[in-house]
Amino acid sequence: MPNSAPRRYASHGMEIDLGDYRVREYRPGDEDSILPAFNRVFAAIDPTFVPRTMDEWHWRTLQNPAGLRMFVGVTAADEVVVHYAGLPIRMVQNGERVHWNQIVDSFADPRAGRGLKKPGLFVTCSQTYGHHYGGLQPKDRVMYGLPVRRAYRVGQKMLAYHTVREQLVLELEVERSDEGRVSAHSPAGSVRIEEVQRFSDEVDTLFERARLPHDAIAVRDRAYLDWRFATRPRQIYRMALARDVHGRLVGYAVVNAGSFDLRAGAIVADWLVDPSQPAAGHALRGWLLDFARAQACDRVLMMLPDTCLDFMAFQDAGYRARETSYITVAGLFRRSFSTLPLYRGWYYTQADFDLI
Amino acid sequence: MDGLELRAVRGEDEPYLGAFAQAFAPGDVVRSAIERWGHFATPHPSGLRVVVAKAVADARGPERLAAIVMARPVPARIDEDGRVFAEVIAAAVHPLDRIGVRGPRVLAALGAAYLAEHSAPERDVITFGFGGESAWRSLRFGPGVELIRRQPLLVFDVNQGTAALPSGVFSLHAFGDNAAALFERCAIDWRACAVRDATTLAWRFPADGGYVRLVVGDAEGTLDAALVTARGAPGTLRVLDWLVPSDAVGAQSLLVQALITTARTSGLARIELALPPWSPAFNTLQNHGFKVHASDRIVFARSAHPRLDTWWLRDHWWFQPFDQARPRSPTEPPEGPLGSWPVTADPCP
Repeated sequence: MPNSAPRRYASHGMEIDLGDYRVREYRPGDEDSILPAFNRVFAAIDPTFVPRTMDEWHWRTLQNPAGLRMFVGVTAADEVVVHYAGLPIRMVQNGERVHWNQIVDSFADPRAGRGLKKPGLFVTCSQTYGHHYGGLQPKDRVMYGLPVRRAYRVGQKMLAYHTVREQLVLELEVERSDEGRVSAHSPAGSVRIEEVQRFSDEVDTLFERARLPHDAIAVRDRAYLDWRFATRPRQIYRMALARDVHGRLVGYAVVNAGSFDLRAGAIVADWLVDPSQPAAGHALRGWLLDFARAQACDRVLMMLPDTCLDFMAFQDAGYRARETSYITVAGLFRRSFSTLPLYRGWYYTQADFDLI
Repeated sequence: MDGLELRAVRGEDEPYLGAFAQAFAPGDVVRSAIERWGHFATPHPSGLRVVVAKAVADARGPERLAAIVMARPVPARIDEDGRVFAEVIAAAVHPLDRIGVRGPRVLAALGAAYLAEHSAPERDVITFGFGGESAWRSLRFGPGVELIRRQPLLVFDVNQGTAALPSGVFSLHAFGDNAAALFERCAIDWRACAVRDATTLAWRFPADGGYVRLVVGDAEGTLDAALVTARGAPGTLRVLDWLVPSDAVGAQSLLVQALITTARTSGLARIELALPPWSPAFNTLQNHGFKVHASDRIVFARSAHPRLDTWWLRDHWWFQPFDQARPRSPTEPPEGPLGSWPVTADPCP
């Protein structure tokens, strides 16, 4: 991790003057040049890339309940040619309310490549970003991501990414599944499933119970879940609540039809179950299977850390662990950083990443 | 560093090596590695790689070795070409030299000197280690050492099974020359791996070690598949090497049945394998009832070739407990003898 700001340039507040370019924090209106450059750069390197709309940019950047993290490198005419950004997320880590930061969407516009000399505008931008946002409270405690090979190398250099794990995915082949039969004869019958369009405040209470087994978990409260799933442009998620016989919320799941790691299927976007209510897990898995069948999906794909109890519960229900192209990584602004505590105690799902 | 000479070990260092070993408790990994020097130096003609930090007499103590890095060369393959890997078996600082910030600095300097000397594309192309978090912390000296994988385990809970090995499976006293042919069939799917033949297998799994070698073969001496297993953590049968060609589907099923039988007759409730997630067997064994569990075991390595980076090694390196030959600390999973398992007639004389 960089532990000091680059010193070779004069810094004026949040602005670093590099001569032909300046590095500074985001200002309203930057999106007018960020978005076209982003769409141009990523379309050139990813054949599956779908251009982002301004609505979507606003949603993920300005409406995130955890805030905004963004530095840009701009020309004298204030045109953005380098972009270094992250999606902050509110976490409970060892009982403490903190922020983490998922690094996403960073790029250097190759059209300005001739000006990006070593140590480079991009390097300066990323190091400034890391120094400005990362660190001990109240800064972002951990930088993390789910990079593919190329992004991993960049992150290793810029943010000292460390491997948390080779990411596995749990996969259920719908045709071979007997989950429906299992559910019908399991205690899941005492749990009622209810589809919703938005979450209510009772999910905050569920989160306080469900977070307890985990040393680190994103705050899955109403504000976060509604932002993440209910208000997202161009994505339609299906959300289901599990209630016990008393009507109490004991779990929820979010799913959509899509693809992960070039595998199409029903992608479980989020999952949280009260650890004392395994029947909720049975019932929600049955609902996932119903969704997959209704959408003609061949498989259900679920991403969880292999250290959490749910990972085993899904395997007990017939899911198989498969390799993926991804590595879960994290970096921390401390020399003594070890990924072991995150490996053991960090609970996450697809919701914590921006892949779906 | 002041007062330290970083260099390859020499014959004149022998008494200092003995004193260095004595500074560690009996059974300690470092002490065991030095005491079993001859054992680790045996398999490869180029011998051990050892560098030391020699300290002059100072306020801390008399003339001594302040630190040592030891590794054993491993015959290996990269894309069918013969190469050499090296397993770090000890990296430690003398207790007198650990005070303050000196210890980490000494080890970092010696680790860098070690890598400068031995880590090169035409020498030790991969320098690696395997173990828990403590091994990772103590052995990841030097620049470029990266965590390759936290090794997931395939675990089978044994609750039923027959008392006899399935037909077609045999238990061997030792592997013969036919092991090399089996290795060649397996290695078609492994772009990076350590070489297995009768010699390396006999060194890694000595005849008196209580290891059980289960094979599927025929009377003509052909091995279709094989594995080596031993008692692991309490109640656990641990598979140490899995030599099953990807096209030997029937043999794989037989070996799974044989493992269940072996565990049951040995009074063990759990079978544990560690396979790379990219291997076909990682998937197919789940269809046999194995579940994937997380573990704290870490594979870490330093590549001396830019093409063989961390990501490439994750995707292509066939890594097994076979590859870990260094002494173990008491906190690591053991390799204990199964003892009572009857050795059947060798089908491959």
